[in-house]
Amino acid sequence: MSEIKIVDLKANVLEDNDKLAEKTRERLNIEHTFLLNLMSAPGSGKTTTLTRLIETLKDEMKIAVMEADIDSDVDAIRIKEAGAESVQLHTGGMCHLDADMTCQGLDSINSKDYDLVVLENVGNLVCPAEFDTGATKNAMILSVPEGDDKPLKYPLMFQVADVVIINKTDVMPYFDFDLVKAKKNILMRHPGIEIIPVCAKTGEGIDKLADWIRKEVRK
Amino acid sequence: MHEMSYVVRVVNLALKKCEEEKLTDIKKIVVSIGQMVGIEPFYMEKYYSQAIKNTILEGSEIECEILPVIAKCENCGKEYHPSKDNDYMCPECGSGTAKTIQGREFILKQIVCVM
Repeated sequence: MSEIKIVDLKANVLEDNDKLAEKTRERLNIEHTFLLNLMSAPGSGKTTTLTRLIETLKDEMKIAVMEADIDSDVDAIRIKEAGAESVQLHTGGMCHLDADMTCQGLDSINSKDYDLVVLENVGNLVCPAEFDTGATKNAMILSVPEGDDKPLKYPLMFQVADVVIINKTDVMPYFDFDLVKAKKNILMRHPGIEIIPVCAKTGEGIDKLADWIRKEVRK
Repeated sequence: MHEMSYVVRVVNLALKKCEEEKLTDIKKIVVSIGQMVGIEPFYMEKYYSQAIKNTILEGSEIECEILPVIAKCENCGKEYHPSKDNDYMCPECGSGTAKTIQGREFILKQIVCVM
């Protein structure tokens, strides 16, 4: 007679990804390469912020950007013009990057040649937060038009971020965006996290972001 | 929207486990998913039936258990389920600083088969 058997496993589905991410961090540490995973909603100003940052830092360090756009090299051209190397990652329409794709990207640009590599993740506040890419640190951009309540709606994103960049501060008077409230909401999700308000369009605040990067690259 | 990539991962892991444990005639796999992962069991089930085609899991079902979020207050140590009603604050001391201790898991909990 056949009987039902229940096999208890309690196996972490993301274990393979987490292991590869940990290995990637060790590799980056040996290579003295700082990998920043940059996440945000589409249209929050990732590329504009990056080009500003590259212009500020390009004479001090070697910078490369790995782009996760689904299909376009518009951003890649802007990054190259700003003075950094750029490589396109083929995400095949995926909603996030994982450690495997990140690793492939690092291999293709020869990551040890760079001090700073920025991984421009897929524009999305949900999935990228769940998959460890192996980056040294995670940054997320919250732009003013998105609203100061985003940390309440996407708690995981704010938990995994090491720094939150509040972009488009110049349009704050036109939106119901309360900077104090936004900071409070972010800190509620992630106590003690660094918050840097910037305006990528005018360049305001980019120096503070550059300082944060300098500090991390030196570590 | 990310259910598909989780389904692919969980199916690959289940197939590996079936091979290791020499399991056949699989009836069901049970997964535990933290509430914060934001998974819709409806889509997990829908994609699962597609992902297992032509594998030894074909014909089996996926059961999703959702694990509620548990936070531990950094101020008073109370463990609680964060609720929207009080802005996710600690119900004991009102503090907002807390660590998530459950709610981000994605676990292949069990494989149910006929021996």
